[in-house]
This record gives sequence, structure tokens and C-alpha cells, in this order.
Amino acid sequence: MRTGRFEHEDAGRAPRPGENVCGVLVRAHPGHAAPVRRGLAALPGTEVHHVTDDERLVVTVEETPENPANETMTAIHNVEGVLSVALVYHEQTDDPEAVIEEAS
Amino acid sequence: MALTRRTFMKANAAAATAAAAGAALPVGAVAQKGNEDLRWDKIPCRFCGTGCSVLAGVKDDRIHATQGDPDAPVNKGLNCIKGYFLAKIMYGEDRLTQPLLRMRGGEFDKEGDFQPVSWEKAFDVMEAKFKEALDNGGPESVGMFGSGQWTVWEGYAASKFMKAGLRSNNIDPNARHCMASAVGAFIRGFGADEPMGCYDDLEEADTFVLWGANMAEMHPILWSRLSDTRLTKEGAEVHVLSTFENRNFELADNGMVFTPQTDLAILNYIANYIIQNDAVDEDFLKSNVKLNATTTDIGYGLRPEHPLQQKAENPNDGSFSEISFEEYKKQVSGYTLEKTAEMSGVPAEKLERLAKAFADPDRKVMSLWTMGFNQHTRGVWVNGLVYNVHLLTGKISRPGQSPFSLTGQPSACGTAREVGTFAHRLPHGVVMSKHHRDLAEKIWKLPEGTIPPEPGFHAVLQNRKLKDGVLNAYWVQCNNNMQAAANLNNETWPGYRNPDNFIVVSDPYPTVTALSGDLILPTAMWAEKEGAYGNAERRTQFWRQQVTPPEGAKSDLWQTVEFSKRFKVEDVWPRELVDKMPEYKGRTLYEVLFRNGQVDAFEKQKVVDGSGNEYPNDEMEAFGFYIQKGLWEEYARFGRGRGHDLGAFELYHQARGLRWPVVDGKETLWRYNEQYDPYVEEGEGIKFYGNDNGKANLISAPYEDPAEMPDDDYDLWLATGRVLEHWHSGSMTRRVPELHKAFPEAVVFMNPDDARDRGLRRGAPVKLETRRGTVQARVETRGRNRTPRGLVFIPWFDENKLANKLTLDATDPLSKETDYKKCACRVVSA
Repeated sequence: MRTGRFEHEDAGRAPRPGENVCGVLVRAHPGHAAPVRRGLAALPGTEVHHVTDDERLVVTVEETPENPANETMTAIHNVEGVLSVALVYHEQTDDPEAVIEEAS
Repeated sequence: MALTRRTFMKANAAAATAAAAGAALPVGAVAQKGNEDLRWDKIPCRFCGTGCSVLAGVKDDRIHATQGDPDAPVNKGLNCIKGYFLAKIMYGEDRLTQPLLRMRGGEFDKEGDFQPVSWEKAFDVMEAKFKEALDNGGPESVGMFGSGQWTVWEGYAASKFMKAGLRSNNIDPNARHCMASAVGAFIRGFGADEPMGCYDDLEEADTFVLWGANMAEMHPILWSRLSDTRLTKEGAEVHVLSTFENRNFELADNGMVFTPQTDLAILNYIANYIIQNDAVDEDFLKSNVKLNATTTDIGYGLRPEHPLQQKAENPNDGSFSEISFEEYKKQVSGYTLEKTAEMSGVPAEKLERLAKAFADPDRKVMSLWTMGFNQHTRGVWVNGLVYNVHLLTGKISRPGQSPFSLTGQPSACGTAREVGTFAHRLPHGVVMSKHHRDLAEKIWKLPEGTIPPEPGFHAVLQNRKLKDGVLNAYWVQCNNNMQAAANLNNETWPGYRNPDNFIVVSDPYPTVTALSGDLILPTAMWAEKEGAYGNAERRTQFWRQQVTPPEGAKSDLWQTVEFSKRFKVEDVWPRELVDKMPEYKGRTLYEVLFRNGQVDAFEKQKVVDGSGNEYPNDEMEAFGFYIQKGLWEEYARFGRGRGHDLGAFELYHQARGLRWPVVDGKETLWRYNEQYDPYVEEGEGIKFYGNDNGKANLISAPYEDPAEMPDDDYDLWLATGRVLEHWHSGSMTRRVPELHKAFPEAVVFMNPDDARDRGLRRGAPVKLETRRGTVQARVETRGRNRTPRGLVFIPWFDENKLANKLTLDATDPLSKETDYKKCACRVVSA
């Protein structure tokens, strides 16, 4: 147990790859779903799974050593044409490569 | 190819997100499989007052995943980015697990260093110190500072322990810094606290007006609902008022930056416009509204000897008296468009567009506000002025017609306000009323005269009384007031370190407040206990204990109730009071308050969800009965049949929250409206039944200057506030590495021209100085907040900067809430 003041080192440690995976719902400004999709594709660890008729994008963000998930999500806010970003799902694990099921 | 945890996580994330968007993805099946080892259960978010419901995925007694609850009416499957890594707030590296006492040579010493002690030893010292204070100074010398983050039963137990047990009304919540002005205006205007409308208004309205609320960053889920309406409803529009440009301006149809304090003038101008243009709903006004004018020149809630208090003609006077419509018309007539534009700095055409929105009978207007209104030396007035314009036009208590006070804490409403943990409050009523004290004493089975009739010390007064040595034994739970209180170097710190005082701080982490005290008690938090919160739309939500806390950490509920065992009634009650109920002789406060046949009425039982999963309940285990249920059912007796009906305990473990009054198991969406509110009889239409005459009070109030304004020595306005990534003082969010990295330290947001005039570049280190203190930080001239010339903004989450060294402890004289948004400062190169 430590009782010192808030430590920047603790808070600033680097994440391990795959530690955080996020599901994010992105709303594009009307008429901007296509350019937003292209903008998101350029962000590392980001995948667009679906675009709804009303221009909302179903996105996952995986952490990479160079790109912590939070930074990627901040970057999503800054993609041209993005109106709002909502986090829907977050999961963390200490062991992202653990085998859950051997595929046949 | 083997499927890894990462693959499943991604499938889970995609499926949940698609579901929130109303789409189905083929990955759903994979997600199902990957989810088998997680137990999912609902829990409200730990942060703001929105009250989003989250699903927590637990494995091996730890929360591994969270997702927006798709069944939750508040957030409809979404979660804001403040919900980033929500579960991680419990797992900071420096989590406290043992009580820590300042000691030298094995004994308590105010000047000693913190050393671990047992709970037994911690309570021994605490008991001795509280009893010493009570013996020397009576009930006035003990106090508690609590929270709008307490669970409902934690606040209820603490309030009962202090007001009935120790017979001291010196208990106040940090909601005093947050919501007190809103409460004051609700009580003055409607005779009953909390909004008449609800979040459904975000879809029902077509015109939204933000008055000093940065919803985009502070209430993002409500902002996304509002944005959806703006984008999908024909003719919908958004008006944003603030003292600097923030992210809301991106969506604003009419963005207005006004000079601090001139919101008072703008609202009077709108009233004037409505009257001048015959837009008053005269039938509504006649049937439902009484017109009044408030007493003016009321001072600034400073210490009585302060020159500004001395100068005020009617310091702290909240009285108001009836006026005629003609008198009211005359009072607002001076607020012309030209004059108001000049005072506020807002272009006339923008002001007029705003006024027209209120005056247009075909527009449904929802006004929203938070700290810009509440943290205001005329906070009660300005809250009241917004009701005035809604009352003049009848735009109230109807779907989409809604003056709506947002809250900043998860249970500012549910606990601080409804339970009544304020220094003047009781669960239903105020301590000053004999009738209300009688009711509390009857429900609590206590002798008449137990509860003292005078209000205790409010938050700001507590710090002053600690400094002055009047308040000597003090317990802080669930807040970080050494960082949150204004003028902390001169008013807060001296009180905590006053050698006459003993300060106990309960917290999960070693906050600035904890480290400023004498005894730190390690606290179990959020998902580590069974809880209940009440959000801004009167919605009460429960959760089950999801995980066990770290060994040694105990909930605030356990701490308060366990500590009550240390007092016999004879220790704390005068003999004549004990004589009124001789059966209590020799009993402990624990027995009298919590083993009274009501709180302990429900025996120990298994907590099980609808799927048969079993959950722990550490407090039930410790005390041997279902204490949360007992406290809830006793508490609910106060409001049932009195306009604040709460449902049965089990109902809330099933529902995604219910909005009170809950009558016959049915929630109420719009209060005071016969169509929705069971308290309004058929044929009554709208009835403001909180007041005996059934009418709302319109209360006229003028513009008055703030306590401090820029001058030659301190030439800039200083406003403080928050940022998206951090919640309040950062004691939780800064323990999440990702959030810390996203916004590691406080910066001074400044206009580029102001920076250039002072020879400062973006990123330059500066000293931010006021008459109270100095903070060093870097200048930010770009980004999310764009300040006008003459105003700087600094967030207060950073404990290494402590922005509240700068602020002035001027309060609204009526609500006693501090104005954190206005004082004078200067910025010089460091």
C-alpha cells in the first residue's frame, strides 16, 4: 500500500497489446458516412463492421503498443464528418492471446 | 486457427455496438460463446448525474468488461467516453486497504506520520476524539461532510446517525457545491425539490437552450440524445450560452458568449420581450402563478466581517413579496435589447432570436443548466429567472416544455437532496419545522425533541468553523473537499491542521483531503457494495454487490453503522431526553437507530438475480440482517403519500430505475400535470401542489454585480470547471492510466490575443494569480475551449495544481453554494 501523492509513473505506464478492446458507435454528420468510414479505416486498430441507414458506424478499437485505445478514440472525434462518439462496450484482459477454443 | 481471447473480445464489442445501433451482425454467435465465462448484471455508472445503466461483466471476482445497458431508457445501450474503462477506477495502484493514523511513538499525534493501524484501533481513537469534542463543545463541535456520491442508504444512515444519534445538524454533502442553488429555486418557486420534467423531453422538445452547461463534455449521453433530436426533427434548434466557447458550440444554431453574471440581465430581457410582444400565456399565469419580487442587495455569503458583507443592505435575506403584473412589467422593462446587448456583449440579433424562441407559442422549449447557473453568487435568483420565462409562457410540466436542472453527481438527487443530508434538511422536510421533526422522530421511534431545530453548519461554514476551532471532530466521507473547496489555503487547510481538531477521511485512495487529515479509513467503492443512486430525472436505480472489495476496505455504510456501536444514548443525549424513553437506557446508538425493529426487519438472505446468479452482500453478512432493505423501507415511509413515493425494494432490483413519485408501481414522467401525475386530480390541469395555494412563485430579481470583477491589478476573469476525461477532482479517473494519459495535467485556457499581449506562447509556463494564491500551469490557446478576450479557464481535477487555491469563497447568500465561475485573476510569465 502506498500513501504518497498521486504518481504520474503509475498512471502513465504503457498498455500491453490487446489489453483493451472497445466497441464504439460513431454518428456521422448527415451525408458524411462514406468519408467518415474512410477516415476511420486510416486509424490503426480500428475496424468498421457496419454502417446503418441513418449513418451510424459500428466500430471496434483494438489497442496496439503504439496506439492506446483512448488515443485512437480521441482521434475518432477528430475525423472529419464525425458528429458524436459513444462507447458501447469495453473489455480488458491480461492475456489477450489466451486460447479460448481450438478451431476444428 | 485457434480463437483467442482477443478475437472473442472484438466479436463481443462489435455485437454489442451493433445491437445498440439496432443492427444485428453475424458475429453475434461468436460473441455469445466468448461471453460464457462472464456474469453480466446492471449497475449505474459511478460518475455524473445522468444515471446511465452499465452492464458489468464479472469473472474471478473482478470486472473485466462493461457495456452500455441496451435495456436502459436513459442511455439506450450507449455509454459516454467518461465511461472509458469504468471498471478500472477500482484497481488503482495506490488503493487503500488499511486504516492509517498519524502517529508518533505508537500513539496518535497530530504532527505524526501516517502509519497503518487496525480498524479497532482506528475506531478507538476516533471514538475518544468525538466524545472529547462532545464533552467540551456539545453537538455543535462534531460534524460530517458527505456526498452526492453516497448511496441512498449510506446518506440516510449517516444523516440519522448525526441528526438523531449525535444530535448535531452539522452534516452537509458536497452537493452544496453543486446543486444547492437549484434546490433553493425549486423550494422557493414550487415548494418541492427536483425537476417537473424528465429526459423524455430531449425527444419531445424542438428548441433547446443551454444555460451554462457544457453537456457535450459533462453529460455526453444526454447530449447525444439532444443531438439526435436536433438532426432528425424538422425545425429543431439549439441555443448555447456560455462565458466561453466550448464543444456545444459545434452544434449550436445560436451560440452566445456573454460577460460573466449578465445571465441575470439576459433572462430579464427575455421576460421583457415576452411581455412587450404579448406572448404571455395569460390563462396559465392567472390560474397557476403568483407574482413576487425578491429582496435585493443580499451580499455574497462571505464571513460577516468581510467589507462586502458589511456593505450589503440585506445580507442573506431570501424573502420575497407579492407584486402585481404591472409592477413586474415595470421591473423588467429596463432590460431592453440595446441595454442587454451592451451589458452581456452578445449581439442584439442573437439575443432577440433567443427571446423569440421562448415567445413563439408553437415552440417546445427545454432549458438545461448545471454549474454555470448553480455556482453563482445569485444562483437561486438565476435559477428562478429561467422558471420565470417558462412560467410566463406556460412552457412547463408538459412534454417538451421543460426547464431542466441537470446534476453533476450520480446521487446528488437520490441521496443528498431526497434523503436530506443537508445541514437544514430531513428526509421529508427541514429541521426548522416542528411538524417535520415530529414526523422524523415518529418514524425513527425517537423521543420528541431528539432532532435539534437549528440548521447545522453548511459546507463552506464547516471549513470556517474548523479554522475557528468551533468544529473539532469531523468525518469526511466520499468526497475530496481539500481539493474542491474554494480559497482552500486560507479557509480549508488551516481548519484541517488546526491542533484543536481531529479529522477523519474515508476514501478508497490517498486523496489530498485524506492526506490532510489525521485518520484515513479505507473505503469499499461502487461495485464493491450493494447500492442505490437517484439521477437528475428523479430516477432511482439499484445495483447488487458485484465484487468483493480489497481485503481491509469497508463501505461507508459499514463504517457509519459500526461506529454507532461506540456510543450509548447517555453519552450523547441529555438526561431528560433519555427519560422520555426509558427503554433506551443503556442502549447503544446502533441498537436505537439501526436495530429498531425496522432497519433490522429483514433477515439475512441470499441475493440472487433473475438467472439464479448469487451475489455477495458484505454489510448483510457483517450485521446479520438485510440492512440496505431495512434502511430503504424505513426511508421510503417519509415520502409515501407525500408526493415522493418510492416503490418497494425488490422492484428496483428488477427495473432499470423508476422515476418518483412511484404510485401503485407506476412511475411519473411529468409532475404537476393531471395527465401524468397521480397527485393532480382530474380537471385540475396543471397544479403546483408543492405550494399550499397550488401555484408556482414567479420571483422577479434584478442584475447585481458579482463579488469580484477584473480591475487594474487583476485584469482577467477566472472560471474553473471540468474536462471530458476527468470527473471532478480526478481521484478516480486519474487512477485509470488511459484517462490520465489523455489529459495529464491542468492547463490555462486563454485567448490567443490575451496571450500575445503578455508575451506568452502556447505551452508557455505561467503563474495564474489571484488575491488568494498562485498556481503554475501551461497556457493553452487552442483546443476544445476557446475563451473570449478577458477570461481564462482552468480545470480543477489536477491535485498537483489545486485550482481552488485561487477561487474566492463567496457564495450565494441564499443557497450557500460557492461561485467557482467568477473571480479576478492575472496571468504572468513563470
